[in-house]
Amino acid sequence: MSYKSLIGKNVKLAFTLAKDLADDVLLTKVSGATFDFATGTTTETEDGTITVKMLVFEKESKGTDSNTLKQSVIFDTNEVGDLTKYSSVTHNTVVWKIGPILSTDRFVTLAELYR
Amino acid sequence: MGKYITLQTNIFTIFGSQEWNAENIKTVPTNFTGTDFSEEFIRISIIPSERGLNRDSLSGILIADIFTKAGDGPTRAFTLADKLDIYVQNKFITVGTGVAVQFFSSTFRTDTLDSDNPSLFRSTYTIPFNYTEVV
Repeated sequence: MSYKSLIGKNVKLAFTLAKDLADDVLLTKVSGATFDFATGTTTETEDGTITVKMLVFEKESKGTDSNTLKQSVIFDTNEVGDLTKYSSVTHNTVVWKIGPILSTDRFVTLAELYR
Repeated sequence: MGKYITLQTNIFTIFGSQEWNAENIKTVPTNFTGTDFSEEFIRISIIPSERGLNRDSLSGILIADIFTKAGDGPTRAFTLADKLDIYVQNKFITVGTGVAVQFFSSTFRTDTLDSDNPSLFRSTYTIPFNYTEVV
């Protein structure tokens, strides 16, 4: 078995062993967007919605003048693929927008979600 | 429509025109993230920061952030600035009745590598405008 395959399987196993610490969330993937100057509007290319595992390792309230909440989360890169700022996550019926992707490699993606 | 959206609509007709699209220069507005900015592009910001002649008029500046390939020298950036001049410098645009955008003389400066994407070199093209609406 290759190293990539071995590590990938172990990441998947880690999310499984986390049991209910890893939440099932709906990821709405948007792979692209174009802007039309004639209409002044943006058109997003939605790639559909999939269910993925997500580990929340930090949640905080941002700022004193706003109600912004931030979650720092981990995904299995193999499950989510490439994420863009147009993608969103529905977690416990609440929609979170993807913020900065802190780091991503072939195995684990660290991201910030905002609402 | 209000003055701000009318101003935007007027200016956007330049960058939505067939002539500009034929130049094949990737152009996006401010607050548009998109998904692929690894190659050269221009980002347009409309800043109506001053009052105009009447309550429905404005003056301000149009800023075009020009991103070209890093390490290739300044020529391409200067070329794109000249291209923008063809479409906006001293131009008078009117879309609809009783409104007009008058552009004046442009200025241009080269900056440095883009902090978000150092494979791109950033330059700034600026041109003031007046937007006038008949009250």
